[in-house]
Amino acid sequence: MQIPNPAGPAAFRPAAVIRPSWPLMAAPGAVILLLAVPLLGGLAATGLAAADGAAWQVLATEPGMLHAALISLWTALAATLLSVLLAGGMAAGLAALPGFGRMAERAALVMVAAPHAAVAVGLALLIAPTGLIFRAVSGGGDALPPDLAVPGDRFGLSLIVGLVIKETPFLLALLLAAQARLGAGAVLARARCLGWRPASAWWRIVAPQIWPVLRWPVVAVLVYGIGTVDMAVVLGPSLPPSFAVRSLSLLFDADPARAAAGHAAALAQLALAAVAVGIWWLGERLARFWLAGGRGDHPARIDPPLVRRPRQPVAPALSGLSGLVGGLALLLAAASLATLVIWALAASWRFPDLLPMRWAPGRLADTVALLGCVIARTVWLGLLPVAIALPLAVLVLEREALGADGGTGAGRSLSQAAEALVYLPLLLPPAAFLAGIRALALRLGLDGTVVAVVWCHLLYVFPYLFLALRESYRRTDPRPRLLARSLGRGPGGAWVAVMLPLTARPMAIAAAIGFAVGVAQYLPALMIGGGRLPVLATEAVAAASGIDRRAASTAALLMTALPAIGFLLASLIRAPARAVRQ
Amino acid sequence: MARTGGWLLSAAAALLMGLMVHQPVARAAEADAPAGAPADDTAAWDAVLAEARGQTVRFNAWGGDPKINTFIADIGRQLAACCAITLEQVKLADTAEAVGRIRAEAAAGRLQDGGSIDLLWVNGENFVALRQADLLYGPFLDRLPNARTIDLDANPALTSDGHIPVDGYEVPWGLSQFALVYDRAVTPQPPRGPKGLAGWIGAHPGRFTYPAPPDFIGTTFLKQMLVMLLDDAGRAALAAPVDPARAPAITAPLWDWLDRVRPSLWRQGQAYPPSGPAHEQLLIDRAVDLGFAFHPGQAASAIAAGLMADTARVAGWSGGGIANAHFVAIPRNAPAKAAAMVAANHLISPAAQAAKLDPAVWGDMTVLAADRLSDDGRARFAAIDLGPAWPSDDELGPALPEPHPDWTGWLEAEWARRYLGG
Repeated sequence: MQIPNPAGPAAFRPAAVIRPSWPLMAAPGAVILLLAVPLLGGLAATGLAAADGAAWQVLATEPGMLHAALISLWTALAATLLSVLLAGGMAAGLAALPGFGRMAERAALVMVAAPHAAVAVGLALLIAPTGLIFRAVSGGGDALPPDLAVPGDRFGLSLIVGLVIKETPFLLALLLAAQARLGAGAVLARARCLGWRPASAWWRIVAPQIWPVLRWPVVAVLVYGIGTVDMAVVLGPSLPPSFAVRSLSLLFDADPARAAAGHAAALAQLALAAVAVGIWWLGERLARFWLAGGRGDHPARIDPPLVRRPRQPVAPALSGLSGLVGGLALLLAAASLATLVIWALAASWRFPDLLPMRWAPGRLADTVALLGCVIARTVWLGLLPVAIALPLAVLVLEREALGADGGTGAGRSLSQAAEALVYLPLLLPPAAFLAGIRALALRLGLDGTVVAVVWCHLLYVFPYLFLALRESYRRTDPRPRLLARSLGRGPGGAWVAVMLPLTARPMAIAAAIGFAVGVAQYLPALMIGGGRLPVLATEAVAAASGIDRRAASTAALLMTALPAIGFLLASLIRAPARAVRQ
Repeated sequence: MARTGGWLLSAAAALLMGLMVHQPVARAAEADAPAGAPADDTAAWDAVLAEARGQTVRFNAWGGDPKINTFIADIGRQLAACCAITLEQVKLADTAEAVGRIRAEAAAGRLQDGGSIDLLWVNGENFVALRQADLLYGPFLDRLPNARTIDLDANPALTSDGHIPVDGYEVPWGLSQFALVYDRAVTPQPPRGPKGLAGWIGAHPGRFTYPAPPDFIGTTFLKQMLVMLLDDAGRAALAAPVDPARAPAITAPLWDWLDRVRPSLWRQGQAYPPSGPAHEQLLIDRAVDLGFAFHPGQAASAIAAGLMADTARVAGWSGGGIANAHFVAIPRNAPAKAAAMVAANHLISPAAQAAKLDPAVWGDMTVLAADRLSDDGRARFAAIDLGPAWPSDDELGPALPEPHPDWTGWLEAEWARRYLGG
């Protein structure tokens, strides 16, 4: 029998000695209000606008909607599966070749920071019949560009490639961090002693253990694939376009009946996402069954599968191949960004010249000047959500660190609700709630206002910023602060003297991540901005589907540069660890 | 998070390196003497100018063409300098978006004020939708001093838009006529009618396509083919609202024609460029050989911009091209109506109209009448070099009327039904 210990781990927390101040008490509630009001209000408003049989009837008779839904399911599922396999292959290879790990991780993180729209524009210019790839193989002279439907092929392959080169680095970064925590190198060494090949051992022993880290991010990737508009407009098929793109054009239709059908379509994206997640879940069960060597149980521990060596190993060649293709995906992503640089600087670049005949850096300056207001607006719409989200995230984490639930269960469940809510925007197709928010904003006269767009940006900025900050905040040693408190500092004074220096760097990086997320947002400015708040993302996508490749490239390049500047500034902040110790 | 510093630096470093005066004027010359302006207009206009100072005009205008966007930005600079007005172009992908927004605002009770659009570039079915829902401000055309240089009797397209009277609720600021763009060195004799075009497409597989409707250039291409395929009785039916029972039979020649050429289109007709500009990009990339123009200056301005070879030309359709005027209108709920009127007045000033005619700027036909211009105004137009790529009146052919606006939506829906299903 176990004796309950009243002085359990909780007793070592300073909760008992520090009375939380009101901002700490209010923080989770503020998060819930800030996120739940637009999310649930938006969903409800979308539902209300679609709560009309006629809307669904129009949607049902709209040509090509079923085809569009299948395109969305296919591109999202295929891109997610490929991204997981490529990231896995790379992680497996890197576990065996530790020398390349850091390099790959850096390359992956650069791609994570690049906005989706910018990567899409770059890839579209790279793989188009007039792009760098076909110029290189054209043979020059009077060659005509090939009559190929890329981007925009009817099977959505270009869109799948775009999603894969953006999502593989994201999943790879998560996998590398997780396998470093697990000590994958040691596990593989032990497995090798028992006669396993490294690739087999990684897929059968390491992968099942780090999979839980990936489960929710993969769902987010899948749902992103269903709901994406910026990537689908630039890279996706046009006859018909993906379901999300069709929903949006219905929503913007001048005919009120079709606009109502657009709300129904936005809501239907929820069902589409659910179907995709369901299919994924089934596939995951099958894969687990197979990885466990034909047994139904989940190899949560290392030893049993180590002992019971499966008869049929995972082909190392296949794992190696997926690792190589993953490397190629990273290269393709880098080449896409490089293409942006060439187009932004080119004066005239006619097919099949490998490089522009004339360069015009001056025109880049002109385009930047023309985009001046848009750049400034993009910066503001990226900074303002960070200015709100960062203090709020710190307060929520501070409350958690102090165990400041006011001694009641209600306080704790409020914190838990706030944390659960953080994931919600990442797991829903954005149009499902943004359509309703748009309708509400119109009714309240808030459409096209900075307040409304910043609020929508917060739905994405807060989660990423919070998740980035949480890990380092939780790892912070609580003892220096206890010491400061015992030396007579007040709670605020102790935070400024101890926690601020200790967490300044993680906070700066979290802020840079939040800023990058804000800069990358496309749909809020498009849907809530009412056309009056164009940002770099909307300019890049609009220009990419038109004639102006230079404007598209310049906008895409700028929206890649802004987060990079943010990260550069964040990296200038050094943790003065020694100063604190003294 | 602590070890992210290194990659941050390298990432950031990598990224940082990383007179038609021929046409309307010629017609205007045959028209009557200019109408006089009311005497107390000056004082009234001064009041509008005073009210407009400091206001911001959100000009919702199709934003697909960089040269037009640059022209609008220039207009904005001039308005800031002369009248202390800020002009912001809200770039639309499709003007129907703005119609939807004005409707939604009205439905939310913002009928007289609080709208998000001050000035709208509009014509055809979008004007009809707004006018019939009584969502436009006006009539205000008579209040603009520069409107006196427009001869409304010269061209029926100036007084009737989408088969309903304009009645001063719109200001015409340009004339368009649908035509072909081609490179004389590549296609010495471009086909100028459906029959010739079908033969040409068959002989040049993969070298022709059109923008996917509802892009307005794509829809206009459907209308142009339909008009050319029909006899007089069929054309008369196009001038009337759509009769859903008869429409399939009337339009059958068009769908037969499209089905016949589809296998030989660019990408076997399995994909279409999503917009007019995307289609123009294909022509510039030499991915197709024939493009479309709404402005006779299209080829000349593409040459001036270094986008097309010097041999690029514009050809009219045999029998003429669908023509219309394009307008600006002010929504009833526009917050800055005075400044919107000043901006509209500026758009029809001789200076702005002459700049717009210049192929190096835009290459769009003017709405001003030569005989109503001052000597200074006439000199501005005379100074513009239209270049060899600008078609003569004979090459462009006569102006054909637009079908009834009902047909726009019907043709778009029918096209989507036939080709969007994949």
